[in-house]
Amino acid sequence: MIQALFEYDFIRYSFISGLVAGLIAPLIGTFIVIRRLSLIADALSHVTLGGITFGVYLSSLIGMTINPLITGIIFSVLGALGIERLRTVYNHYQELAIPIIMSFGVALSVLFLSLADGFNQDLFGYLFGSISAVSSIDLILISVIGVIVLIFIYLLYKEMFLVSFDEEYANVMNINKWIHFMFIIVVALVISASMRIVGILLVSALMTLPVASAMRITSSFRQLMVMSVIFGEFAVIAGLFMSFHLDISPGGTIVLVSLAILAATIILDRIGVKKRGEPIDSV
Amino acid sequence: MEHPIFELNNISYIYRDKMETTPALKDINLSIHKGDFVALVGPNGSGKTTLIKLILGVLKLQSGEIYINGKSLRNFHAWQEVGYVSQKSNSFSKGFPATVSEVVLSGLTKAKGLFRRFGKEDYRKLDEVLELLNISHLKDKNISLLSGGQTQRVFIARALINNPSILVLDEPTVGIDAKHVKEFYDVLFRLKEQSVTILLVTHDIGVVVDHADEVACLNEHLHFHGTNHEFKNLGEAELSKIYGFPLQLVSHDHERACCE
Repeated sequence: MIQALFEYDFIRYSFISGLVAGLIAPLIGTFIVIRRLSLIADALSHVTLGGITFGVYLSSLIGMTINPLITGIIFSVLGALGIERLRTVYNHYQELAIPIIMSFGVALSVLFLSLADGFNQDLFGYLFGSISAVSSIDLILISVIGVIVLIFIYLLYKEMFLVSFDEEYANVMNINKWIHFMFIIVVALVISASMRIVGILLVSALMTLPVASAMRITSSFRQLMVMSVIFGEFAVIAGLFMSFHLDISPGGTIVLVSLAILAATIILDRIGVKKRGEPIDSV
Repeated sequence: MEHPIFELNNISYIYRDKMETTPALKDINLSIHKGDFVALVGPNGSGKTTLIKLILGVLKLQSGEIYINGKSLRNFHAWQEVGYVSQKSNSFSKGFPATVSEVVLSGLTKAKGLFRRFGKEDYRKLDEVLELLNISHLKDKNISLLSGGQTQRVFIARALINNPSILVLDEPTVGIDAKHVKEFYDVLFRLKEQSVTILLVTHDIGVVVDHADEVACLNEHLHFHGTNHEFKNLGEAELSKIYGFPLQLVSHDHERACCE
């Protein structure tokens, strides 16, 4: 694959996109997991699929190519806003927003898939990821999203930490009003950026599995973020290599590698090679 | 003339569900001045936590006005001057992957302002406050491994790291053993000497009457607000009326306990 990286643009685009996804998905996934919002990623990924199918349908309708990633990003952000709105409508049952938006996304996908013709081949790539489908435009979009996510986390790390750790205290400090809103938009962007490589159906795995693994062997929040990124990048690189050599969709291999890492960390944790230290005397 | 730190005028609050309404507070008027140590007591469901949430702006005012340092709550933005320890501090952090340092430092988030990261000065404040609460040795420990008393001290440290001029504590000693409760009150006394205004919500009236300057007794209405000496002199009938069940304050060698 290393030789192919130098020879073929599309392999290089996929590899760089994968590295960006392997960085930003676990980074933002850290906040998703500890805020117990893992299912939001699934809901938004299905809405993104709705946006992609809409883009393909629109292209066939107007006879002009529209990059489905752009319509996917727009739908994903709109879905994020919808989830936020529904969470306030159902204040005591906030998780209801997730199945509502998820079913809306699937319904839209089915609708536009039925309306658009000749989409089946592309659909497989969107659902499970593709090593050959990343264009130079996609790479630029994914890179821009990567930079936005890194800036967001760098500048708002302390606010995100507090909102994640203690929402009530963050409310008292009057810093919760718009941070969550921005966060959910960033989640939508990360899903759009990652789905080209991992696929819509598996994108949430890249956001949650590396974090779930890192949680077993880290004791501080910073360590959690660093280890999540290391696991995410390892899964993406190993998964892309396997995908290239076995000629299968990268989504499956990346997630399987992530699951292997998770199993390894659980075993390590069980046998006592863990960080959390000894129980502390109550002195 | 100096404004009261907290001034509550005609505060009422009703919880509304689809089918029913539950009044929590009625016509509360209360002033707390700089350097006061006020204990807010009352039975379960008496509206203590509701009142604290209103004061802190977590719940929206339905009627009445609250002033903090002379500023209407609606225009008050200096929340970095307020330290807060919540009732839930002892229970919600379990399993969270964060160290004591990270949790305590997060108390500086508002004061630091947006887009600014923690620096040397912040880490110096961290060391100072950990020292003050005798938890320096726990600095790098995971918060989920601490005992209840240790966890509570971590949250008090988070509230204190910014040197607040106002400290609001909602039942902070629940689940803490007697030794650490004493240490906790020692810290409060040191803060009081530095003119920090303290509003402490507690069930433990036997202890607070010996520690707080003033006691405010709440049960939907504000039934009593006066010095701790005046509170001690309340008759059994009056206390029982406030609490809704037979109650008396019993003294044991300078310590007083609350008995049903």
